[in-house]
Amino acid sequence: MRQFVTFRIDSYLMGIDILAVREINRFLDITPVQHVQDYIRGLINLRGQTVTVFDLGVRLGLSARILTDKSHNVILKKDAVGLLVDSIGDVTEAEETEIEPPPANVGEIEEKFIAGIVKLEDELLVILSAEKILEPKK
Amino acid sequence: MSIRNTEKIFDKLNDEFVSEIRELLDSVEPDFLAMEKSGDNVSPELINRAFRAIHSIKGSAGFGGFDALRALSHALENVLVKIRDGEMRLDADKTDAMLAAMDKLRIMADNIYASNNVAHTEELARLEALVTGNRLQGAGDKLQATDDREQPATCNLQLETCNLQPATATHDKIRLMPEFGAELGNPVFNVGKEEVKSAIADAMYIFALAADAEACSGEKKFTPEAFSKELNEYGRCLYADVHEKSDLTRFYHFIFATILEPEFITQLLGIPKEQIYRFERTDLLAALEQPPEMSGGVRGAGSGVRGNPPHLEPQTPDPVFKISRSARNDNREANDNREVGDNRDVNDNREANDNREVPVPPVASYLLPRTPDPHIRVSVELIDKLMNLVGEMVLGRNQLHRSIAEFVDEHPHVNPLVQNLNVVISEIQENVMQMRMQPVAYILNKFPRIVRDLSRQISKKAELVIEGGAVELDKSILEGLSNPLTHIVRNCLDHGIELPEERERSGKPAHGQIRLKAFHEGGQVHITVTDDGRGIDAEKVAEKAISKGMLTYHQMRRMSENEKLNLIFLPGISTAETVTDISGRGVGMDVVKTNISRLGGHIECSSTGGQGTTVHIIIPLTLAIIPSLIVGVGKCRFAIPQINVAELVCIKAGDPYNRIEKVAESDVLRLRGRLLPIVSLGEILAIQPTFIHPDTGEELPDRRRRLSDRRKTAPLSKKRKEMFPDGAAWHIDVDEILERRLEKISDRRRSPRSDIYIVVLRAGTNVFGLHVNYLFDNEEIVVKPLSAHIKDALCFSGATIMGDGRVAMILDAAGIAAYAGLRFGELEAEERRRKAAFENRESAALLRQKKHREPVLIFNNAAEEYFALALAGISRLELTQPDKIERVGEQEFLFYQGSVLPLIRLEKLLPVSPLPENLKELYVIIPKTSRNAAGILSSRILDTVNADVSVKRDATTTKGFLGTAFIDKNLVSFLNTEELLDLFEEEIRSR
Repeated sequence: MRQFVTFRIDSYLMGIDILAVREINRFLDITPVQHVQDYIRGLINLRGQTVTVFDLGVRLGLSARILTDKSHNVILKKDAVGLLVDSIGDVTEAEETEIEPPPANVGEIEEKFIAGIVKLEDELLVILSAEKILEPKK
Repeated sequence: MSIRNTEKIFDKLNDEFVSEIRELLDSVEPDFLAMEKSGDNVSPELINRAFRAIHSIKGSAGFGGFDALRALSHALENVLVKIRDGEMRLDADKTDAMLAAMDKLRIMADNIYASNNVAHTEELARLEALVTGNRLQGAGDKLQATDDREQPATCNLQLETCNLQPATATHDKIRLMPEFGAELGNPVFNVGKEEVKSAIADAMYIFALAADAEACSGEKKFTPEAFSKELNEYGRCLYADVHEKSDLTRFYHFIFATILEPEFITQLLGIPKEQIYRFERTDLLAALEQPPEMSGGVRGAGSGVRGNPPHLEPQTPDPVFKISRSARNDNREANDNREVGDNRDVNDNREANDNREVPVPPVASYLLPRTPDPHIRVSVELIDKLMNLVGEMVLGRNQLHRSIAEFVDEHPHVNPLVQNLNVVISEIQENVMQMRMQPVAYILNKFPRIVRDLSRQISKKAELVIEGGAVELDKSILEGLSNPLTHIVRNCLDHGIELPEERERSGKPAHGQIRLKAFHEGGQVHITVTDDGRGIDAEKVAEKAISKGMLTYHQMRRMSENEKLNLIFLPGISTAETVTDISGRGVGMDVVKTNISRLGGHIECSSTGGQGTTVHIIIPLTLAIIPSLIVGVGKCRFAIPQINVAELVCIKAGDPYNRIEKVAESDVLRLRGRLLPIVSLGEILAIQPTFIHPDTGEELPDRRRRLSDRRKTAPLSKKRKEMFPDGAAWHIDVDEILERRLEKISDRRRSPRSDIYIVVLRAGTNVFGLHVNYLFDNEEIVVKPLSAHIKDALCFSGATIMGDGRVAMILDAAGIAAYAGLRFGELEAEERRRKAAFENRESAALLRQKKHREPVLIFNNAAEEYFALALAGISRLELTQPDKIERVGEQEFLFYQGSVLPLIRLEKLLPVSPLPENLKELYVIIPKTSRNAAGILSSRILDTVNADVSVKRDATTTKGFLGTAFIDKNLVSFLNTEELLDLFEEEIRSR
């Protein structure tokens, strides 16, 4: 049994293994950093520590996120990186057997980021690989 | 205790050993050097201190099973014994041998687990040679025999000591019951507790001896009294059963405390090792701790203790002792029973050979506080964590402040509480920062050794003077400073200080002097390394740079002496004719410079030919917290470390001479005659600049694109007059003042949007201006490192969290210069061109001067009375308001460029009408003079005209005037600056 933190990017429902997540917050006072990869939105102050916030939309090959009341940061345990997402969903459980390998493509999302697909009752949950997201872009 | 735990404890103990050993080695080294210096009159205290330190090392090494370390420190100890006994005095060669051994010890300590594999035979042999060479042959052999080869024997000796009957205690006496066996007798000693305690505190071993009265008396005219006297020479005889000797045995028994090793004793006293027993320190300690009532059974208790060692454990309250004790017991069991159990595994990974020694009791010896140590060892990691937390607490406080400000206003009684909290938090922050600070002496103290070794090696004579060792610096900076400083000192010695003969020839003392000085100045730490050697030939450095193609001849011609000198920081420059072992390859100084820059510091060099060289290093107090200037572009704020900020320039809208121009596609600012490349931070970072509208206060986008377009050119009607007196970077803003006078600009409200803020940044030797939208305050910021994802952003060196909790990036001056692709070379070319043009102008001016015409400044004191001063004789004009003038007695002063400028009123010195009262503005003319500067007050500046200044003096010309002339139908009095200043000084003196 694995648990996933779910969130939305555009209309996609996505999830990341809960074990890779440190916390979820709404520290959206992001200081932009110039001259870095386009998917890096900037830095936030997480209780005295600086956390690099990725625009998960840009990272996945979609458009840049627009900050709304529902925007959240999913802070990963590794590298002090936060992922800016449109909104946060429930924690969803799935058996290992329920996780299917990713199809050739899921919409416009780059395939390499997708670790698997879980078919929920009414929609697909795209499981993202935190590792791949953190991999530096060449 | 599980094996894992034991292992951890061992690791921890070993870590402790290593840092302890390092510290001890560091503390001993100066002692050795001092011993060498004092020659015959070595103070016993010095030797004992060194002895204790080496002994502790040996003890620790023995305990941990680091045999190589033990053997070497043991050999060192032997030498020290010799010195203490006055049988040997240290000379340079012997010191060399000892220092070499110390270095080896250090190497071993650095990699403690591999220490047994470190080759040390050479050092051992050298030390042994010292010992044997200085002692009577026989005795020497004896002592030499105590080395490793004899180890099994000593082991045996000590194995027996383990079977020692330990001790019990009464209220002030401790009962010691060594069991020598039936033949030698089993005496019981009542020894004073205090004596035992102090012996233990002095890191002494406590032995019981059985001396064979007959055997000894035959040879040595032995009497027990004489023997105990002899014992007292080597240590302390705590007890002797001389007087209570029974006829049952022909042995005398002694309790003897000494710092000597058991193997020494056999040799020194001539007593076979079977007759010597050593009490385990831990047993003694346990016995000392025992309350008197527990010592009921004199012998019985003793046996019980011996038979069942763990029984003692509950009585040792200090857990550290427990560790050492159980470790010791492990060993004991292993040795006694040859039983390889779990306990053995603990040691196996760090102890390859089976030749384990029963632990000497070092743990107890150094954990026992000799004098209470006021220090405590804390890991840097912990302090860093604490630093972070404190930083956060400060942020939290600031945020809290803001949010409860209103509440506090309404409830004034809360205010003292808040303030109290403030003070406490600030103090905590200060103290935590203090925790990271260490005195510079920490690294400076290794230099006497370096200088000594090196000067011997290259047969130079030099002494080192260290000043300001108490100045404190952040630990990480200190560590980074060590290598560069070493390099500089080596350079001083190798290249700076001449050979003794050469020095004497040039009339200097044969001993060169190197001065290491650390001091605080302006919130930074300065370290200077000065030698009184031959100095550096700046021309030679420049030639070298040219020959290596790093510099063109033209560039060189433009450089000042100092600039040439500082070329030594370029890679590949060395003026040394020969490459020596020590230095001269030319790779050094650039590395030094790089290292210092990495610490956020600056390095400079100055030198006087034949008199010496000074290297000046300026470093921030701490890396973790740095004073910074906060600037803003658009909505973003950035921090610039103060150390990079050279100055701030605000270019006012109406200031045509500080205007930004274009040279080869880049913006430049003419700043005091030099061209400063300007980079716009907004452009570099692609941030839309904004400005605050002066009337509405809203923040609006600033759409102006080019800085250089914004400035109107200088009024054509008035040609700009630039003054480059003696090539210095001065110009007089005469025109501006005139223009302002005409336009009454002072009445006009300036729009802040048209002001340009330039932060002049230093990036290495290059200087450039950074145009920013806003200048905020100076703030102390805590540097947070950049994550790997944004490391490649060239323009930033880190991030920080501001008082309001937002993250701000820290700008990296060198990175910005590199990103902007500033071509300093091109600018230099332009500057040269302009300078040449200026020189042409100047020569033209000279030509004009031949016709005795030169520009003069005409001004009023009282209206309608005109005065003139040659423009060339004026260094500056200042516009000021009367309320800015300070008065002390009759003398008036103006605070000007960071100093106090006395002001001259013409009417006080000359027969002229007074300055009108109630002026809104005053002009201060600052004449160029070699004397103390003074400013001449004037009410109005009229114009500058070319006039014939060769006015004739006549009989009516009073002192202070050159003469008079008609200019534009006005009678103008030409002033004589020097005479005026004479009068001024006279006036001051007469007051």
